[in-house]
Amino acid sequence: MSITLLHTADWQLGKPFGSIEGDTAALLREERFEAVKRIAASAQERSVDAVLVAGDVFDSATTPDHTVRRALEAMKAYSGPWVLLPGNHDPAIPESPWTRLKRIGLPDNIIPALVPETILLADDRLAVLPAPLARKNEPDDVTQWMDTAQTPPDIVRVGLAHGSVSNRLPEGDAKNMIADDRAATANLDYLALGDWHGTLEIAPKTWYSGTPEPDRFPRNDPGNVLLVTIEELGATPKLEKVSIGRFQWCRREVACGVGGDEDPTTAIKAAIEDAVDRPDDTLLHLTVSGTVDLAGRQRIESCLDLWQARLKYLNRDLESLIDEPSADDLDAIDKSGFVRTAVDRLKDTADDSADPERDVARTALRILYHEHVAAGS
Amino acid sequence: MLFRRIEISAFRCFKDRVVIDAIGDGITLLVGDNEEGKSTVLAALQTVLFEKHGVGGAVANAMLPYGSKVRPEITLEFDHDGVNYRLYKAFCQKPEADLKAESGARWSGDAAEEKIREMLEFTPPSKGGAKPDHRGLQALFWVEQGSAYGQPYLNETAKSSLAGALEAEIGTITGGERGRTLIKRIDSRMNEILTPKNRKPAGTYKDAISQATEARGRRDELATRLKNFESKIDVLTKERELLAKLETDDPIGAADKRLEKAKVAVRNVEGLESSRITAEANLKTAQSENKLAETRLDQRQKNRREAKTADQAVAKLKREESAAQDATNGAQKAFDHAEEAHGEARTTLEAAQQDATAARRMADLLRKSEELEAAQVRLKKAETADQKATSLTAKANASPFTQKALEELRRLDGNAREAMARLQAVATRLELAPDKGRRALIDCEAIEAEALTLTEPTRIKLEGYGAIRVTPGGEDLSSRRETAEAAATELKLELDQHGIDNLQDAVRQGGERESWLTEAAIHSTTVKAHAPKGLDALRNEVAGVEAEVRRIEEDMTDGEVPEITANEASDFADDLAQKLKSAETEERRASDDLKETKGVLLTATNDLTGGTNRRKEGEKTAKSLRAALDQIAEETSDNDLNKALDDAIKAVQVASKKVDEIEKALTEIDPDGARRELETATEARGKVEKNLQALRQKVRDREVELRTLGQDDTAAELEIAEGELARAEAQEARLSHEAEALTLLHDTLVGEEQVARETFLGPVRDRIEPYLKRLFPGSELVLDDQTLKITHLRRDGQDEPYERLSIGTREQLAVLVRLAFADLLNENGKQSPIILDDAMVFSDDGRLDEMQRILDRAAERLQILVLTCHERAYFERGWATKRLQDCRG
Repeated sequence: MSITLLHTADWQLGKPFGSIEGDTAALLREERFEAVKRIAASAQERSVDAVLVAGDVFDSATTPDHTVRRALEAMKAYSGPWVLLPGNHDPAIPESPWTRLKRIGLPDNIIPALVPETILLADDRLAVLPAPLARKNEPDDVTQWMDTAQTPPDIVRVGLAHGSVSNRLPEGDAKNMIADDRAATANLDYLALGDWHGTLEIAPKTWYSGTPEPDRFPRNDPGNVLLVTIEELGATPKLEKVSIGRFQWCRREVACGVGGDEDPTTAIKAAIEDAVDRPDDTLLHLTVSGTVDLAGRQRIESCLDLWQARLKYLNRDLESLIDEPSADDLDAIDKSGFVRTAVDRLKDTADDSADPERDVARTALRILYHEHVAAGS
Repeated sequence: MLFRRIEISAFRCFKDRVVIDAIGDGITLLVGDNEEGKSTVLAALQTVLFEKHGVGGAVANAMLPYGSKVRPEITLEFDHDGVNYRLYKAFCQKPEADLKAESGARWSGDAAEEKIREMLEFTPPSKGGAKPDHRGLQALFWVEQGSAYGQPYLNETAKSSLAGALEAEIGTITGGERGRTLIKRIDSRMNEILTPKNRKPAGTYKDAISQATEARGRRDELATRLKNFESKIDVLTKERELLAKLETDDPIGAADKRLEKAKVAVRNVEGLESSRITAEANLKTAQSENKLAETRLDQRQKNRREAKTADQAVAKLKREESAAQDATNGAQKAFDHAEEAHGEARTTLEAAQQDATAARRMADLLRKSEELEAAQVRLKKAETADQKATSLTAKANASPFTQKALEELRRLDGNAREAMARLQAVATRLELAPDKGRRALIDCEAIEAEALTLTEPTRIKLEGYGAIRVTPGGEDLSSRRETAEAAATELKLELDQHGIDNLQDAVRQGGERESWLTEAAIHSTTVKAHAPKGLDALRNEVAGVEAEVRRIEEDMTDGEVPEITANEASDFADDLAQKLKSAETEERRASDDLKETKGVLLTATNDLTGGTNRRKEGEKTAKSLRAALDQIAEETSDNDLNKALDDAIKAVQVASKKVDEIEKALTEIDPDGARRELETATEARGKVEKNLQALRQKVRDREVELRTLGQDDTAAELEIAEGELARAEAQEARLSHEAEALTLLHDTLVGEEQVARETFLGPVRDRIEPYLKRLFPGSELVLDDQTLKITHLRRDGQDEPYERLSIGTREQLAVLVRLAFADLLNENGKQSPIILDDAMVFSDDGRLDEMQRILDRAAERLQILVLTCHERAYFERGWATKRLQDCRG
């Protein structure tokens, strides 16, 4: 009776990573196919009854044939059934990766679930009830049909959908809503969901698997697939979270100037080292905030330059790091003379919260400090 | 440092010892004549302080008095920081240096040199002699002869001392070189992203703006492309839904049914319309027959009316013919009368014409006769005057004394006189004053005159004495004499030729000749007045008038000329001409009357002929009509015509009723509506099928199109473009902010530098101002804050560059600046004597006087040594004076 499923979602194959500059974007794009290969290998290894992909297999409706073919290639290692659900990124519109898949010709074990009709698998022991999206935003709950879907008796009913579970998600937009009690009302043994990129149990018997390869600086838990075992009808399914992702996307915040005289780079270095264990596979978004003197800022920038070379990708956000030139900074530029007078004037402007040129004056002081250091060297 | 005593020996022009002692704090005037050694004193001071005692070569040789090999020695006693020192140096042979302080401290050799260097803070040369750069502050304050008008020389020591003093004075110092380096670097960074002049985006900043614009364009284009794709997807979805619905509803079947129904309705309409055409044709036939009967009846009545009318017309025409006959008779009478009147008027006119012609001829004859008489008188006067003019001119032409001849005579006379005068001028004049009873004789002739003018050697006998021979002039006299004689001879010959004795006769006869010519000219004028075109023309004119008079006389038939004037005859002729004009008018009026009556007669005759013809034609017509009427009535009677008309009216009524019935039936079934419905239904059937096919085609086309568009990966490209745009915009914003920051930084630095410069020179300006206002009131002296050189003098708002000022003004300003620098340094503990070697030689008296006052004032604080050869110029000031000649040992 036991049914084992591999639940995954949000592959978004072909995602271009436009916000990441340089060669890293191409690596990230490529790695998503590698993740699918790892999923296929894992499914094959564990001999699951089916792999359910809960939407957003492809990144967009204009995903080209080449990407579609590569997807098929990546799935090859698992010969069991793959049920692929259109999500909001790849809805089943008249021209889409799904129509292309059909034109290219697909193996029998690849089952695009393009209409809300029951799919019987595992020798009719498993009924998959898909709720495909036929457009980006469906105003109605497309899982509603599951409540009245007729299936043979004594069969495992598993729902497959893509969207936001009403009132449950900590963030995200309210599109493609799914009732939070759908598993109960539709008498489902498991409701496999996609759209939320972290692994999350959102309601009883209702899970988001998350994306198998992280694609953003998360505040959740991406990089996994779920291995779902349903021992018997009505039983709570057993879940195993299997890590699949390669790249680590980390987010860290460091506040400067709070502790006093401590070198700001010490805290930054500590935060990075704490976050990163494989620098070459790590993308880091680092926010440095607080106040810093000009010498400190220069040290911070040197420190970050070093880490930028070491990490796969570093996104530094110093918008909230405010310059607070110290007496030493200013003395370093000049202790007296007209340069010092100019420095003092700029400092007055920078310290005046009502002055519209405040930020400009801060930057001017920073430039002057840089030039002073450069001229000195 | 303050000088107290200088002792020099065996140095340059001082072979012997020279001592200048008791030098006070203020001004000391060192007076010496040219080449007495003032400048040597200055050289000695420079040597003892700045030349090393061991210096050799040309520097040492220059110290030696000319032609001697001695040991130059210089001793300088001075106060420094309140301590008295004695510096002794000997050069060339056994060189030596020795410095002693009053405290007893003593330095010798190089230690003495080093101590001096330390006290005066100068940099000695590494080898050779000391140049201005090696003389510390003294290079600034010791002004050598002939160089006072140049810029004060500031070596590094002077600059650093002044900068130190200025720093001490103003508390803060400028950023100096370092600040300027920073400004340059900021400038350079600004120039990388902003244009230097207008500060517009340039370089990387400009590139960033372009890149952001391009990225935005690319993003927008991709977004549009994607939106286009998505909207086409939406359209395709709707079209597919529509197509599916249509294929279920079978709109073609519905259209077919509607079409069949419309066809049946139209066939019904067409049957009724055919019946109506037949009924209408019947009606038209009946109506035509009715009309024919009515026409025949009308024609019969019309023929009757015409016959009657023709009879009435004949009667009227007869009356008109009779009236025309009467009118013709009247017109003939009027014409005859007019013809008679015209004959009479013609006769009167011819008589008047003859009278008028005769009178005009008489008047012409009388006028021409008067004209002939006047012309004959003028001819006579002209001929008389002409004879006189001809005679006088001939007489004048016979005289030889023309203007030219007179001029020649005058010239010869003048020559003779001038030659004689020239001879007389060189002749020897001999005045005789014989004793009583004595005489002088020439050729034994006693000389009566008191004086003689001798032009040739003459022997004169003097009674009681003997003879003397006077030989006047020389060669010149004899040539003048010859000239005089030749001139006299030439004049004589000319006079003889004209047969006169002297020039006066010639002049008189020349005057007579001129008066004859004048008189002849007056007579010629008279001739011209009477015969302006010449005498012959006047004679021809007289002959012409005579011929005309004869011709008129011949023309006159009666030949008798009445005793009246020409004007009276003319008036008579005018009266007759007036009468002729009246006769002509009368004749024209009679002629017009004749023409008019003739026209009236013609018209009346024509009317009569026309009336007769019309009357005959009318009679003919009336007869014909009557005959025709009689013939028709015989063929068909009036009763037959009336019956035919009644039958036709009844037939029309029957046919009309039938037509009405059919019309009513057609109105009830709406034939137009039925036909329109058939058209619409036919069209609709076609359209439905066409639309369905078009929709199917459209769906297929769109599917094909979207299949291509869907391959473009537009969504991914858009995301990449958005990423690029975000980065480009961030870069643009960063550079914009940086540009603002650099601009603010630059402007702030430059502004503060300007303020600092002005502050920096404040103390120097403060020191110069009291001196300057004495010499150039209301002016300002501007120095360069970097080089401390004088750039210009600002007077009355005008900046005058230093180099363009007069030499005198320059030397005064250069001294003032040195005084100000010295004051500044003095107040900051650095004292140096000022030496002015003939420094104000270009100053005028007024300025020199003022400069002396200024020096007086400065000397309250400064030690000043003035070297001059003009003691008098400074005498009145009462300054301590040392005369070099008194200083020699």
